[in-house]
Amino acid sequence: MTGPTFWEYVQQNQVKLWTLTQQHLVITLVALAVGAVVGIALGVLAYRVRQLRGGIIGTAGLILTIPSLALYALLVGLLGLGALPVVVALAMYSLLPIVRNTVAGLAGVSPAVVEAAQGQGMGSWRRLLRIQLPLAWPVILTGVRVSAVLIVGIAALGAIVNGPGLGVLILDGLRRVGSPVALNMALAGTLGVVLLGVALDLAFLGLGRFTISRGLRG
Amino acid sequence: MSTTAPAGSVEPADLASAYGAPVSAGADGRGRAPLRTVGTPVALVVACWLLYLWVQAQTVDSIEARVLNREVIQASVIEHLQLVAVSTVLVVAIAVPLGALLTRPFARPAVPLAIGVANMAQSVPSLGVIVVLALLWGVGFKYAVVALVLYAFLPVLRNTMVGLQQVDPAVIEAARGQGMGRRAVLMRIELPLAVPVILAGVRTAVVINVGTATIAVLTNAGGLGEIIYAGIVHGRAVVLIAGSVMTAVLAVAVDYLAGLAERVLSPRGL
Amino acid sequence: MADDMIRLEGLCKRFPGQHAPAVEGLSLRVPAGRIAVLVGPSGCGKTTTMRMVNRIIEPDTGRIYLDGQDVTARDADQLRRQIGYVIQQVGLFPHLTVAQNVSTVPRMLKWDKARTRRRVDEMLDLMGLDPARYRDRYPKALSGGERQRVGVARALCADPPVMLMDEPFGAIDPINRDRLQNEFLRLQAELRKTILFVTHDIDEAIKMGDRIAILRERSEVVQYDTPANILAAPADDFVRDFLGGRRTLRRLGLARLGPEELRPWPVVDQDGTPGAALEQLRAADVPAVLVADRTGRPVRWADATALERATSLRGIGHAVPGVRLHAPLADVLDALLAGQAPGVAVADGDGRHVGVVDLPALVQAAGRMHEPSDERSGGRGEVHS
Ligand SMILES: Nc1ncnc2c1ncn2[C@@H]1O[C@H](COP(=O)(O)OP(=O)(O)OP(=O)(O)O)[C@@H](O)[C@H]1O
Ligand SMILES: [Mg+2]
Repeated sequence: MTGPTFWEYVQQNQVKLWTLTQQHLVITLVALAVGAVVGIALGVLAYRVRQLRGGIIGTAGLILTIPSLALYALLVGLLGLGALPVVVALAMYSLLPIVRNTVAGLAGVSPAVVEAAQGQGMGSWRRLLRIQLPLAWPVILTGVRVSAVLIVGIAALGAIVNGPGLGVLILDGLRRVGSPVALNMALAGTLGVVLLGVALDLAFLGLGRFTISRGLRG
Repeated sequence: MSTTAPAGSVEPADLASAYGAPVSAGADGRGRAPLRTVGTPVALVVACWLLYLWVQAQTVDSIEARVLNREVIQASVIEHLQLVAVSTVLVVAIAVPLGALLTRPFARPAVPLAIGVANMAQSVPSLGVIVVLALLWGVGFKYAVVALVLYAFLPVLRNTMVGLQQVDPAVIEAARGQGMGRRAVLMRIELPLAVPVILAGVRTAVVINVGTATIAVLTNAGGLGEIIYAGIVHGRAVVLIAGSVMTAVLAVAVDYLAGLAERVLSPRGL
Repeated sequence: MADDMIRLEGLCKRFPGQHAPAVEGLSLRVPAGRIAVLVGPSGCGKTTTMRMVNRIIEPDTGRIYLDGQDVTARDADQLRRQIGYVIQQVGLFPHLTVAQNVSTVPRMLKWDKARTRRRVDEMLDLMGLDPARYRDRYPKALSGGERQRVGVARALCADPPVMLMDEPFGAIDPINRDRLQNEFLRLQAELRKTILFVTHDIDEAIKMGDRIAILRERSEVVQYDTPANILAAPADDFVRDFLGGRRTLRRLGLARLGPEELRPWPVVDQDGTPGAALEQLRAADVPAVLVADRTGRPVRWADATALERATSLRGIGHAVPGVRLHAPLADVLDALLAGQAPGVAVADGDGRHVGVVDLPALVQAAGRMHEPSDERSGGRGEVHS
């Protein structure tokens, strides 16, 4: 194959690649934010109401079993093409690790500490916000991090339903099969997603340094 | 990375278990939720039946009728299952021996690296793997299988290594001490003890394969993705929804069966 | 010596990346049919030594002889099938039933099914586990003590002449441990295996060992002798410290009551008069006389005050504590202290009264323990549970 080498391609298309990467990042983070809020809330619910625990975690697991193309397509049927079904689908996929880890994190908080808080007259909500969630935070954050790495890859497929991000580049590559730049495009898109995943992973590790109480870091 | 899970409750996910297949086979790993053990087959049948009723109630045009008929659906399901079956068998055939090899003493230093790569690979987009391979080698069933194998390979490899590594060293020493050779220890002690964790990895691989196989339509390998894709391309909501519900039902059914197999094949006594 | 079953010569082992060797220049001989106990502080290299004997760990230098044959270069797997190995952490195979665990070696040796099955049941019986109840259980359904017994049964199953037992009773509560130790000693009296036994409990070492090797760092043998001799004459301060403060008391558990310790003592018939008894007491210059029942067996102690006040000798004074000849001196002391009596009545093997031990005689006997003897006094075999 003649044509630009991969590296030349990347250099020539810096701006475009950068824009797509940003889009990819934004769509991932938005979905993750939604997923984290809903997931932690569901996790707290699952922790507090034992009867709901199996149902909530089971459903989150069920969602993750559904092939992403199917979920995207299903949501397109409801929400139309574009970024919206992608964000919703990604948020749904991010639920399982976050819910699981929220429940596990809360369950891992020493009952003695909770009792002590209760003994000081802390109400149930205050106890949750001031004691239990901060103590469970390292485990919850791990869940969020796992979700981030997971959905950053799934987001690429969003291009099939006209979603934004690096997946567009991969699909474009496929459409230009036969042309010398096709492989470069697909490769750039794929590697871009992987790099973004590594960056997110590291970023969440770093976030842990700032948001986990120093008393828990040992 | 994460604290240990309290007994009898939910195991936290970490990078090694994003799909909810826990690395260690806890009680949670067997029957993930009651919904999924007893109710699953019933729910799936009901879903199919509702879908059928719903599609029957729609007025179907010629494009839709071309896709939504018995022959096409049947062929797609069979193609899909073939893709999943062939690639899963290949994955197990390659990844389990490789995982066993990598955990032998001489390869021990490579293990953290292999597990690290396996964890990082979670964010590799399946779309990317399928497309890049198609561009490099070509399209069709064969190449789709290669892509599926590549994509589902790491969970099984990782779980094989983790499963073998978590075998109690005392048990291995006892086996060696009774005069079992290295091969015998691997075949009769280590692998059987690692089976639950390996099977959890295989189940993850199966689920991933069902998902990745839907994208194989992009490289002309068929499968249920074809119906969904037709719906997107032609802008037909009925086809879109029918295709995706069928795919979801298939995925959940396959996962359910894999879960059953996991339970049946795990050695008793563990 | 030709009848040394295990002979270790100059064994050395240094683990990669550690500057000090874990075992340095260890030499040890275990006579056939005897139990040698390795005892020493944690981390001194006991387990490492054991693992070198069955070559789970290959020694850097040194030789291992089993029954006179150099096995340092023999096929390790073949070798291990002839050495029973009970590891510190038990290590039962969790995916196999008790019967499958126990029959590990016979199955490798391709015994036929019926023979294997019979042998497994026999082993379980021997270890006090009802085969019908335990055969098909999985290890997770066993208690810690039951697991340890299955571990011992597994090591014994193919009837290896040599056993390596690394803290086999370590994970068991004191009461059950005592019972298992006794069961095992009774078994050993029949089986006569050559056993290398590791513990870091000195009491267990004294109880189980025909010989004890006291080790310190790097498996250095500080003293290797019979329990009685080690207690009588510790080689140095390390051994003394290791034996701890109750050394003499422990020796009382080993030394046995011999006929030379007995004193004649006035015995009066219960149908006699208190006055006559009082006269005998004064004549013998003892604090109390023994009152015998119709069979001549002493049953009560009666001192001067009691005799002066009494009209009959029946039911007078206190009950007589009794021991058998050759009982451990510790038991004698115990009876003496518990009985609130000037002495303990001693009976021979047939239950006939042969004399009395009092405190001065006991002190004298304890004094005689100082001379080390060649073999352990009293010998093995009388194990009482
Ligand atoms: N595989 C190994 N690699 C490196 N060092 C080891 C290994 N096994 C044992 N050691 C070291 O060798 C020394 C002796 O260990 P060993 O297990 O023989 O002690 P031990 O006397 O059995 O102790 P314990 O009573 O606690 O069981 C220790 O310092 C230990 O840390
Ligand atoms: Mg040890």
